[in-house]
Amino acid sequence: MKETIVNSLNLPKDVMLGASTIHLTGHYTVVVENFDCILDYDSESILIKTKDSKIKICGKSMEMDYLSDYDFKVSGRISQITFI
Amino acid sequence: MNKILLLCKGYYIVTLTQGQYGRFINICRNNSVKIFFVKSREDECTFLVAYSDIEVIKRVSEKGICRVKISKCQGITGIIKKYNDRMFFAIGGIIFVIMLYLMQLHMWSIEFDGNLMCRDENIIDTLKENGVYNGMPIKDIHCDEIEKLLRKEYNLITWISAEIQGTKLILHIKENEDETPDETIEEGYYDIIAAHDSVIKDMVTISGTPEIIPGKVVKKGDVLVRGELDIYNDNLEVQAVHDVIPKAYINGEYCYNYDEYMKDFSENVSSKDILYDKYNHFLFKLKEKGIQIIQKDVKIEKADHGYRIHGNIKVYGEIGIKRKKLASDREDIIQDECN
Repeated sequence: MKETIVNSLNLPKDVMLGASTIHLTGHYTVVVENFDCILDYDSESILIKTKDSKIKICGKSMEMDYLSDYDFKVSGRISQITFI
Repeated sequence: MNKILLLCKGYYIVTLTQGQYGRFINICRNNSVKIFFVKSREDECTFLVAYSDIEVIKRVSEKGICRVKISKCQGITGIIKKYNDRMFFAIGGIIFVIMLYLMQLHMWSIEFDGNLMCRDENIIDTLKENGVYNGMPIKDIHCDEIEKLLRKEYNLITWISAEIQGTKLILHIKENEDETPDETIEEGYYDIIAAHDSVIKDMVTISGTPEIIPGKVVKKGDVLVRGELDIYNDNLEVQAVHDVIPKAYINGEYCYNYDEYMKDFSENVSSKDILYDKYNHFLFKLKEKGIQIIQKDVKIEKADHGYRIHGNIKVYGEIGIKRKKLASDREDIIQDECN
């Protein structure tokens, strides 16, 4: 119901529905906003929980540049982003 | 950018081992702790936290989620914290640097190079009278003006260069070693006069009319050879006077009154030695000019906070110098010729 209203009124979904926003710069950096928590973290994969799904970021030599209560930035060689 | 901010604010390196790193990070995040540069290796995870957030990290680590190792504080705050006990030492260092900076804005010494006849003390006094003194701001020193001033005040100085090196004002001076008279000799009418009070010992007149004979005592400024030639008639009366360029070799004995005083400026360098060197240089210059020294009666003795060298030097040498004829002399001659 809420999703239908947001779609029909063309409102921003990240604000209205709390959807995650992913900014990808080439395969070097990923900035993820609106996430709940980090479920698993190592240098080759990061599993994060969002409001309605899980996102898995795979790559090599990944480092988390910063992590705040709103977003985080990962740099390294990103190979795959999967919604689970 | 984050790294620079962390360096300014100060940061800790936190190492997590043996446990759930993700959970620890999530708890930190829920406590509004921003963490940076998270690196995960096989058995450990490291990240940086700002100086202000370390108390939260310590509190979280007490929950026993994983083993936490916190490094010493890094960055500027870390340095301040490390040297907190030596605060006064640091303040002293800062004051020292500030003092050094302030001191180097001023001129603290005047050095001379190349002057012998013009004494350092006299030049320093002249400079002081004209507002150049030790301790004055360097920005107020104008080397061009100092050069002009000293050239104007001291006729002996033929060339001078003033430069500032660090906090020193260095004056490179060249003096007129030939001691030519100030008055420039123009082509035309002039006489040869005595440069010193002296006794004429020998003379050879090539042209002009001699006014003295050997053995005569003359005073400084007395005419020795006139730049004129008297023309006599058959009755041996002066019929006419012709101007000639006088030329004569006149040697005489005269005295130099040598007197110089110098203060002791440091314990290492004695003013006695400097005075003695100056005196020897003076004698050397005399010999260089072809003046023979007959007798020296010069003593060096201790004076107020320094030494004084004084006495007379009797010499034998050329005493004639050229002087332009005065206008009054010329008028007399013209009137005589008219009559």
